[in-house]
Amino acid sequence: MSASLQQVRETAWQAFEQQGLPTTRDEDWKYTDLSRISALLGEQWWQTVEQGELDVTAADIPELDAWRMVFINGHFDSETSELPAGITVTALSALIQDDPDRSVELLEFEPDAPLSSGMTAANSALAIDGACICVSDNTKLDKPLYIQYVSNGGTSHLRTGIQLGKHAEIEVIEHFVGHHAESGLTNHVTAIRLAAGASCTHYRLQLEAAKQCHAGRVEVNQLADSSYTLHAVELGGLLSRSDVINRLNASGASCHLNGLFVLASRQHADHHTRIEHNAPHCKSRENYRAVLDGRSHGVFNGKIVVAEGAVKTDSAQSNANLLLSSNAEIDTKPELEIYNDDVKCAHGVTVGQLDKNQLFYLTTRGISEEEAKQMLTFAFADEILAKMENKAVRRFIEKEAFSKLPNITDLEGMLA
Amino acid sequence: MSEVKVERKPEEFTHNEYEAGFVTDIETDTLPPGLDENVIRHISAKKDEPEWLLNWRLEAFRHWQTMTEPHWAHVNYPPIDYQAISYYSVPKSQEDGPKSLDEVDPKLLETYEKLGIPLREQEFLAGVAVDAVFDSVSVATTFKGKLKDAGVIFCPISEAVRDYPELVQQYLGTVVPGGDNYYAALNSAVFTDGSFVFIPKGVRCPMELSTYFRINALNTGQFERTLIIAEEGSYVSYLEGCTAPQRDENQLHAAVVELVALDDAQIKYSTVQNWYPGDENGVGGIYNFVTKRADCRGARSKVSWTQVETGSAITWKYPSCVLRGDDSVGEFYSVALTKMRQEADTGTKMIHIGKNTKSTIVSKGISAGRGQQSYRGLVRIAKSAEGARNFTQCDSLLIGDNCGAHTFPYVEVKNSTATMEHEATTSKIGEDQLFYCQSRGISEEDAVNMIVNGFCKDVFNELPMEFAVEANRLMEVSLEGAVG
Amino acid sequence: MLKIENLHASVGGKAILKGINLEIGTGEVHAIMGPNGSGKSTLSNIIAGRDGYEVTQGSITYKGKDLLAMNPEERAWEGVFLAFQYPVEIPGVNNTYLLKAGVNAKRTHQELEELDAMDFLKIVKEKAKLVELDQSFLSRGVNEGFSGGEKKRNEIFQMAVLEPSLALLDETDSGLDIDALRIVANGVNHLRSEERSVVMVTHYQRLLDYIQPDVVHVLADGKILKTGDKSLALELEERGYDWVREEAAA
Repeated sequence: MSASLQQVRETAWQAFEQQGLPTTRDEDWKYTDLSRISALLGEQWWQTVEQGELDVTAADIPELDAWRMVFINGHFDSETSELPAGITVTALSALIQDDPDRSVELLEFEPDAPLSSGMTAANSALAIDGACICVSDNTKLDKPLYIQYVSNGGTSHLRTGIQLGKHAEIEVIEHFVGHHAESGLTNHVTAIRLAAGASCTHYRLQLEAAKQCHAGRVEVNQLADSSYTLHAVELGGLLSRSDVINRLNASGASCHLNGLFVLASRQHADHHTRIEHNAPHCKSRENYRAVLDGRSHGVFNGKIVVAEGAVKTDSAQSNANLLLSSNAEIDTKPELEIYNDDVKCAHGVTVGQLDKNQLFYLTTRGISEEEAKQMLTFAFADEILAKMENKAVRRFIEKEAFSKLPNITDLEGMLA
Repeated sequence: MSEVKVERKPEEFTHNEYEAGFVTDIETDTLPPGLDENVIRHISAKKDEPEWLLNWRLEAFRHWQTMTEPHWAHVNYPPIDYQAISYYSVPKSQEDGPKSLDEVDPKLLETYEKLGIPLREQEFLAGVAVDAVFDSVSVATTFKGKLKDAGVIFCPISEAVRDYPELVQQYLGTVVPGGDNYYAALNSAVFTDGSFVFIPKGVRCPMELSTYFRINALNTGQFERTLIIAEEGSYVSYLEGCTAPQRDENQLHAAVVELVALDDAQIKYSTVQNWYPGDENGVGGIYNFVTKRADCRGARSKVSWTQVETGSAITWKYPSCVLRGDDSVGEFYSVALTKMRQEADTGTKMIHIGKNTKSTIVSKGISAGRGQQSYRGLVRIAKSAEGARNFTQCDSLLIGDNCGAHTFPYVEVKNSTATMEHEATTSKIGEDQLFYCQSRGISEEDAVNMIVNGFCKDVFNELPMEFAVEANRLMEVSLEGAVG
Repeated sequence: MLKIENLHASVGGKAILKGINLEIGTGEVHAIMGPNGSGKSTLSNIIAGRDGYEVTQGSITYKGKDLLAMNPEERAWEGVFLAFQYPVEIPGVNNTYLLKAGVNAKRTHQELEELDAMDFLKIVKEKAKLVELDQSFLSRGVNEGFSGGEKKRNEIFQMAVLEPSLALLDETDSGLDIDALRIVANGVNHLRSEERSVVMVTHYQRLLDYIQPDVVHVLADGKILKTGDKSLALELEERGYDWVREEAAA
């Protein structure tokens, strides 16, 4: 390990030791209590553990035609991976060996970055693997890149970097999965840089095992006319918190953030997103929805910041929530911070039940009220999934999402 | 489209911008700056207060000493030296408390007349009773007799402490407790005057009640406390207005307003806040740190807050409703204007506890010059609030490229039968709207005023007639020169 | 088929229907005409079972059963169909899926076997042709992004698929241009049969040029003021409604 990487690790570790985990007294963590992580995983919760082998193909997305990269318990597994030629895809563990200076760039901890916390610091200090993807100018990856992070407990710290050259194009599917009964933690950071005209479609599918904790962070920096689309899905895990920081740094950049939570039992999922309009003529669209059943708890905080000088900003955000159970809870906060007058910004939030007119309409067609409710619940969530262009992923998530809701009886029919 | 101009010459401001900026030259009895238990004992003694109230104040003060000033609001101001403020200032002629109108110092009457608030009943707008609070003391209350005939009590709170101690003791601090927040605790310790309103069961208050607050003395803070109790089935509409002289020093205004609505009672509370906003460089102006809260205790009770906030250098204010009674209703209608270097962090909290409670929030923010404005709101639907409904509409209008408009709405829902809907937009005055008006022969400045007034209409419609006119005029004066 | 006796109903405490008496025989086509606000839509909504209407007096008997005791889906299973004046958009719920669920729920109720996907699709395609509805509409969300005319055609299409015994057309002609009106009318005429009754609620005579009614009723001020044959519709077109009111008052 080079000296400078050593320094980065040490600085980050010190920051972590000083800060510890954020508490609910921090405004950004008001609704998500991370002390549960140390309670669940013990005092040395941050320690990485290596555990046995896993059948990774069991977790695959059916009918997905893609390149694949697999990480088992935080370690790259070359045997089950199939990497594309023509672009650079390496494991961070290999990069640390071969090109430590570049790994430093990826692992550096920025204490002042928005929503940065002890969790991010721990990731800087401890991440030893992840995917490092570089697509050079004017290159388009022929098939999506599917990255599977499979875990059977313990703690993994992972860091993934995606760097696209000018007018480069990629579709990345990050899939977090596990089927173990024990509690564990995935602490994952994805850093994305898009050069002018680049385009990145990013699926982030959180289907961790039932007792897993998940901490995610996606940081995107965009240059002129680049476009970024995120499909964030929260289905798994017990406690999950993800931060998305999307910076539109040059004119003409655009981003679309789509999010869906389908939670049941005692699941808790929290997404904090921050879209920074730092340059003129940028566009952002954000659509998040949550369907909450059981005693689940959803948290959404979407902040749009429009800097001075970012004229002709066009931003719209919407967040809709459906509580299916009287014990579920949603806390949502759509925020706007605007420092210039030439903007068009709007946001809307709803929490509520299914539309009564729609219910009535369906019943007049002979559909029982119960079934009509199921159809409308499905439709409510599927509006977000309909934005997914990858049909295999969409179908997979639809099945996973709605099989969680015990009341949906004719899922196949609705999907047909 | 002509460019938006924000700078104006300082002398222009003195004439046009703040009409209430004069000082009344009057002899006062003012405590030296500083705050300790002796000051509180002194205030309490001056007002001849009962022991329980002194103890209540002292308890709040001790609590306050353990608290730290909140800094979460999206505002910036230099630290306040609480020991540099005088906590009690009374015109000498008024030292013995409010007298009959005939005995009120003519200088004071003149002051209020200049502000457009004649206190002589025969001159005043029919149907509005006024309590005039000057620095730390109420100087006059009109129509007391007529109101008393209807069973309504409307008087300075210090007088209520003397004449209706049981009522005050029963309700004071039950909505905003002594240690509620930093400024509320300070207020509880040092409050000097304010209005007290009691509407007995089944009475519809025969006229509008209003309090006019005036800060005059230098280096004083104003800490008024208002308590309104509406018993079962009663109705009252209450208005308040505020102004202060133009000074280079900042002055602190930390008020507490408590409203209690019992079964089927209705309280309509309207504010036109026009404290001195400071100048275009951000020098001077009032720090307006206010806690206003309504307790809709009774079933089917209703409280409606309407505010027009055009003044103050810094505003920190969240008139709230605790919807405890089943089927109770809370409303918040707000227009806030920040220009020059004004900053406002304002909004509301709607706490739904009772079944089928309903709340409506309409907030219109206009930011011009270097003004910074935030809407901060909370809609909380507790598990018990079966069938609760909220609708929030929150719009910002930006004029000029150096201002800011921010929205921080918290939504917390724990009941699956609740419905809540929040919509927010931010935009600038449409060039096409301006052009349309101009092509019909309307000057750009008039067009801006028309558009802003249109933007605020939903809120102005909620104001009592006299105030709506005043609010319209204030917006015009305030926007003058915002566009060149 | 349908017998309404002395029906009184109110909305939010306000009386809208003040004693409706109406009998519709099997295979008959009736038109209910009347000025705006006369209670026409209230009547069709009550027959279909929408919430928010309070029946204060009277009864509705359908095929000998108490219609008011059934919930909306039971009415649909028994063959009642309402073509909405303002069909609601339901994004995300597939048009064909909705129909399949509806048809099969009805078949289950009738103790028939559910249709399989192939048979169903055949029926759907055939009926879509009838109202000249493009195939692409079948896979879209219910009424999602449809124009006004497309929504109305979709209503008639659904009616054709669900094959009701009693079809209520609530202002189906409003907002239609002449071509769309013709298509909608063709659809309805095609479904006319001896077992099926149709009630058209409208305030224009023009739909009746295309669908000839057996009986015309005038509904005003919450009551049926006059009943006649199709010539009554023409008379109304010419003279307006006031003379009926005056006649009834006299």
